[in-house]
Amino acid sequence: MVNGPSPPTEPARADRPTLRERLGRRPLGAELWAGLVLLTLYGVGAVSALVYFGAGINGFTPNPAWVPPPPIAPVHGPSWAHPFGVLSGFGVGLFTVLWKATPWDVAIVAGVLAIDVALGVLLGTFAGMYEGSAFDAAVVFVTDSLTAVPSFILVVGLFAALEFLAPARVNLATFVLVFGLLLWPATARAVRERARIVAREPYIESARAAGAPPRRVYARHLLPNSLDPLLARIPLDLVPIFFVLTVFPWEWNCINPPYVAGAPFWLVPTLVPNSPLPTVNFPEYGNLLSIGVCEGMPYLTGQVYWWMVFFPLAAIVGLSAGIALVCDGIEQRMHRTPL
Amino acid sequence: MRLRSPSALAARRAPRLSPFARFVVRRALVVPAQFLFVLVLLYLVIAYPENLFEHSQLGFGNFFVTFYQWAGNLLVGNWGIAQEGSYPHVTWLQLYLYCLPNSVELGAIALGLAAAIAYPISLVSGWSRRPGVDLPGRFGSLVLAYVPPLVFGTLILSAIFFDFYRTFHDLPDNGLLPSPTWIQNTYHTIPTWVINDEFTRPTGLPVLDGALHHAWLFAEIALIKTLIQALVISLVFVAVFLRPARAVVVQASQERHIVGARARGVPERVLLWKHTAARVRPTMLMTFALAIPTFLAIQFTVEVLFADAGIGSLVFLILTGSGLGGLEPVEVLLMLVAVFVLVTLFLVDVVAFWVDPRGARAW
Repeated sequence: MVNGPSPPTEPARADRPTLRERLGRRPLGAELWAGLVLLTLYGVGAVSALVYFGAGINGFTPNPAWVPPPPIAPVHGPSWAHPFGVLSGFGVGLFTVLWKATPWDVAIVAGVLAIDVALGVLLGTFAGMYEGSAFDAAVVFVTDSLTAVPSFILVVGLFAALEFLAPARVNLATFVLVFGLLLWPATARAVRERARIVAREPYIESARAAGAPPRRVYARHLLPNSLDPLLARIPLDLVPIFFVLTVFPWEWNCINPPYVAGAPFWLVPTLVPNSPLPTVNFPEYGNLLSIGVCEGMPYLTGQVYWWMVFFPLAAIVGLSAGIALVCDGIEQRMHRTPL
Repeated sequence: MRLRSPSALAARRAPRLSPFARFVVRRALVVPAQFLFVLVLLYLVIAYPENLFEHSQLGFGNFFVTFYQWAGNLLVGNWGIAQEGSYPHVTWLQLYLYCLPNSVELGAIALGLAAAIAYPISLVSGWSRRPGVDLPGRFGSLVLAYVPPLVFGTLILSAIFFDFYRTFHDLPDNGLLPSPTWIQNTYHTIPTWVINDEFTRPTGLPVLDGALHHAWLFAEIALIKTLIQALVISLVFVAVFLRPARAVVVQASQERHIVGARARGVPERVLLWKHTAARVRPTMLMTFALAIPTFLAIQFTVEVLFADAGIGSLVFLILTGSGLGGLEPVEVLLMLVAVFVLVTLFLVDVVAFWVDPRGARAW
């Protein structure tokens, strides 16, 4: 019988501290609380919208009287009847339409981040664990090459190409998939850098020397300790998503609006070509903000209708900041100083 | 006759390169491979579906032939002709060459401004633990990064619009050049070196061309317009860049040599501006280079907002399909951006290795 080193043993279940004890020792910080509260609000908003609006969640009906901008049509600022005011152009009450948009935007962000994080972490940690291997070289090469192509142009170009081959596939699900597949290289690169440093740490060597199998070393030690860059990376990955969803409808409708014979001289939004949205009247934060900027800040008149910009922008910033605060909060629990 | 050992002979035959030269050569060899990878990717995701649509049955055998033709056309500048819009019957190569100087001038000034603002702010924000510095740095970058550049740009445009008009009798949202009305009112004719109210000759850089033709007022307005737009770009970019840059400084500030130096009584100012600044410079450079696609996205949006005749406006015209032809211009654009970013990454890697050889990446 060979007397090798005995594998490390798990502490007995009864010896492990409970969740309450853990939280008592290291309470959640203010940032983590703030982030969790924000995300819970968005979650509740999304679920309640799904329940309240049912099948009507995927569109809104404009009020023709509200479509022309002020001073042609009366201005409807925030009031009890319309808590967030009325958005000209789309001709809708902003509160209702932002509420309707919440489940869609939460789903888009969650879907993109899920693909991005899953691929980035998996490939990044494996590449870092087996530094110098062919797999590592391939990951580094692909990630560095893909970083050179701006994701926002590639997404739109890819959608334009998809319009030729499979127009039915130009939808939000494809948008989520494509964006997730384009964002993972930056995540993988950052995680790999951390994983290769962690893989050389003495505690990893000790675990290996103690006979822990590679699977256990990976899952128990390397993976949890390589996630720091991920927490700094996730909030940044949200920026291009809302950039694409906002800037292209804005450019299409406000800067170079298509000429339509017999159309009124004020803005009547149309769907930007190759858009992932099914219709122009689809509730989505970026789409609403693009028209809000156009109608709410007409600098030639010197008037500012702040609510048309503020509330869609607050919805985007709130969702993104919620995720960023959670990431910062987790970071703060792991280290003394958030990165 | 004295015999030499084989290793000595080998050492004599092959001149030894310095580690820096070896790194540069190894790294330079990767750039063409990366470029080829990007080309194949562009072909697969954009050009091949379009070809499939037009010719329905291309087959696997023809894949390499069509790729070769496509890549050849792309590389020799045979990019086709713009069909409609403001630039009918002009080749894409000419159009890109016309628009490039405007964008280069704006981009160069904006990049310089962004670097000048971002570097000290991220150093101080990452270093200081005082709530008055750390919290605004963290939350400012957090919130501002999510404000799309079009909102920020429109706000600044709204703020300066009437003051600019009162001062210069010109509109700030009319491109980098003074407006045709202003030129007509000032010079009573359109100068021969101003083409199509959008471009200038001989260099294409409006400020420089204005100065070369002694049109000082023209050059002054062009410079102020460029600076306003550059400021918008750099402020938005700093918000995006600050977060990762700050993370680099926070990590560096916790390293042992810094903690040790602090324990020995080295002043905080010296620790920050001498030791930490030198330590984080290569990583900062790398972060800056990796954020270049984001920088371009911001610049393109600002160009559209201020109606510049630059690459950015062209990009949006192409991407929203405003009758300017097929997808070739998109492929060209992606290729050009990829070349720019790959070369920049290469240069940054070389500079980073030169500054601190320990920080060499896995090449």
